[in-house]
Amino acid sequence: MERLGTLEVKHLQKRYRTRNDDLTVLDDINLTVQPGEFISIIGSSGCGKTTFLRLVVGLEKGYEGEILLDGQKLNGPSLKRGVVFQDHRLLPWFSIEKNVGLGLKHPKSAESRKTIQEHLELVGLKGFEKHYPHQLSGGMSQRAAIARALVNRPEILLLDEPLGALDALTRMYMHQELERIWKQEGITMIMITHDVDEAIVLSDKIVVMSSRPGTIKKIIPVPLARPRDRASYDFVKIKEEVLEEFQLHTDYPFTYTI
Amino acid sequence: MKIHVFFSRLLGLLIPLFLVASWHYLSVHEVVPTTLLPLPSVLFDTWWDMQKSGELLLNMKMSLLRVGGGFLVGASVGFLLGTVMGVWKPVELYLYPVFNFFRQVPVVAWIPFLLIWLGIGEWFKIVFISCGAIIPMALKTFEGIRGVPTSYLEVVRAFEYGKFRMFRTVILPSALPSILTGLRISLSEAWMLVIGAELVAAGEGIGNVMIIARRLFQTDVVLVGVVVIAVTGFIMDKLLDLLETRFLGWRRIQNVQ
Amino acid sequence: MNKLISIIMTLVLGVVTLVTVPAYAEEKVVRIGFPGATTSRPQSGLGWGYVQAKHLFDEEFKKDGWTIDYNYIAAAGPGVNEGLANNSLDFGFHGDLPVLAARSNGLKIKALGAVRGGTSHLLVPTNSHIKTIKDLKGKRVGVSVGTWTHALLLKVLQDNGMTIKDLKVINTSGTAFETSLATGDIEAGFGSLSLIRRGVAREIWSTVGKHVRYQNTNTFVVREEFLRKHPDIVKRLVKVFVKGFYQASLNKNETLKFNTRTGTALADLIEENAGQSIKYLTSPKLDGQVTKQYKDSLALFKENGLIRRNFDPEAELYDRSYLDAALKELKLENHWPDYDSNGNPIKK
Repeated sequence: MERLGTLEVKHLQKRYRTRNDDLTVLDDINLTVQPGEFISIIGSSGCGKTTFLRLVVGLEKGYEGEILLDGQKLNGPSLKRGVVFQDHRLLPWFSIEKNVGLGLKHPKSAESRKTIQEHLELVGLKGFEKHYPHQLSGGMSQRAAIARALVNRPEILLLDEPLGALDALTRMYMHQELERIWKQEGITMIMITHDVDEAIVLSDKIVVMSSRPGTIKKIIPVPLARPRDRASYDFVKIKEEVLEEFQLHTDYPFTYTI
Repeated sequence: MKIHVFFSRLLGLLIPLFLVASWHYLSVHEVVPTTLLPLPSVLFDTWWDMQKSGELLLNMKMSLLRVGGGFLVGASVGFLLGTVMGVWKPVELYLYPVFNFFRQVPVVAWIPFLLIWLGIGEWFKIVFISCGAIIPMALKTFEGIRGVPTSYLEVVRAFEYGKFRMFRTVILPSALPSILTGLRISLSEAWMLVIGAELVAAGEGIGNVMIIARRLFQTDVVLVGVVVIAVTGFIMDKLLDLLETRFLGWRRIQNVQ
Repeated sequence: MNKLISIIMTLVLGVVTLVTVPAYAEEKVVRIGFPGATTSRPQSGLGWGYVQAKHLFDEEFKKDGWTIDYNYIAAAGPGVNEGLANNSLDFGFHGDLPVLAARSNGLKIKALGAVRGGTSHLLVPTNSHIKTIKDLKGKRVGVSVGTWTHALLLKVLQDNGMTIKDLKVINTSGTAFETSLATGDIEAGFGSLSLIRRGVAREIWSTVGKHVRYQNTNTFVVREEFLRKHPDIVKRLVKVFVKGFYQASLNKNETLKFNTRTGTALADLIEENAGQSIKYLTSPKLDGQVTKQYKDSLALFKENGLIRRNFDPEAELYDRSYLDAALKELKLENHWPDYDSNGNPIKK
């Protein structure tokens, strides 16, 4: 059986019409993501990467061109695509358990309970079922959000700067976790990030976008063995290649160095 | 720390105590005639007499029944109104201007009209109280629903939630603090209006006790009425406060943090 | 904190000043309050109607700069009491229940004279099935609480072995009474002849032609403080009052005619006052008829919980000295006989 989760984007264009302006946010985006691939989209603010992600999730409507998942044109949100936002967006009035179960049709059934339990274990939150979001740290909350997005076993997981709000150390720990989850679930992941190191650590391919209008400038493959060593020569090489696209060099790094 | 909190709570009693003391002084020395301002101790005796005779409880029961009826009807209608306006934009466009128009009318201004339509019977009171209870409830429900963060709605939209499930899981819990505030304002409004309605015309009820006492020149009974109304209102508000703590536990802890 | 206390003190002093200052305002005005619930004119008392129509008070006081201020109080007797309590009225004119309730609750007033003969009618809607007082059991009855008709209802119920608890009492008066009767919110109540004339209501009982104890016996009361400060004014006022009543007592038809100026049709006045001598109706004396009626009323009110403190009206309420002085000065000591509790003159 062929693995599901192929995303094909063809000549995607997104325009916002205002009263006296016609703003093109995305223009001629062409991208194919294979099942099980980890893709990072990187670009400066305003390059439309979040709009792209929201289009794929189905939260944003109206576009030209095609977005196909396993050959099927997208029409609104679907349980086949999970999403993790930058802010964890856990509902504060529900326990972690209930939050994780939000995507399930019958969250109270025995089967659902088992699924929730499995996913809490997957993200390392076993024992926090009855806790409320405000009792969790930022990293734990984001892990809960990932569990919530994965609980339906979607074909694609879309992550909108999921680690952007975390501190540097937690972030590095989360890189390991994310990679582990990705491997374990064998799921397609598309992540938006600002962080070049993060993109290189996690991705198979890095999509570099330019802004106004948002277009794909370059797709850089990352053919490094995992787990990746941030200090290795190849790693730095790829980093330079990415930064080149922004006319930046490692002399003026905007990412964290440790 | 705890002691400090205790004493700062006591500070709130200082002014009432001072007022009662001045009141006592003014009455005892007849600076103000006792026919206008009876002694606090007389008030206490009067209250005890009314309590013993069962007069107070009987009338209180009547008033509370009316409040209950009017509040139940008013708050339910207000909740529904606020909900449909909050959830469906077209409904808001149709209803909100009308709602806003009626909101400008002080409820007491309806009295003459309601009296013509409904007379002075129980229907008048229930409808009158409901009219007052609807407004804050509808408004607060509407505001609460309008204030539901889009970010939460997107989470469940991504999960293909229908309107009803979205309402139950996100809209209602998120709007609940505002709805409970509406409930509180609504109830205190209802409590004020029942007295108003009974002052217009009634056979029984605490407002009626006061109006009869006024006509029989029993200033002390009138004042006992005022105190009883205040205490009852206070207790009702505290009860809703407990309800709030019960339902919004997550919010309080969150705020503390 | 000190600032706070001084603010509160200022507020308290402000309130005290507001409450007490009107008492010290020295104006040459005599303010008389009338219960005017239905017509905003005095409803009963032929002598009063005469005195007012002839402007007798105004004539007497014009010369030395005093004016008479007539206030028609929509809230009736209870409203007059409030006016006396908050010093916006000096004299009042009201029935047994408001006067006795006020004095019982400590309002410092003295009764100077009597104004007799008020009438009322127990009305039901024209199409009502109620025929007798006994039929009122369990019915919604409109009562202008605290007025003499409230007291009258108690008396009438007592005669029929009933109490107010047998009815559903609804406090209403004036036009509210009329509309409520029309809408059926109340099924009976005391009202004026005019409602029958207009076809709104039918009467099942009336004070006309009944024992005098059912009639409204008003007293003319004065605030004790005013009495202390201006005994001369009170004296002159009572004198004019007696003089007017004397003139009114001379010709019944003439007096009735004068009373139409207070807003009641002549035919109604004739009907209401039929069978009673003009002398009785105009007698200002606080005689046996008044004292017996008030004594009985006190007991009845106490029994029904309308007053809580019993008192001796002879000691606390009546002050006959001004009336006696006026009668003596006008040489009218023998013009009116004393009437007994049945309204019959006592032969000397």
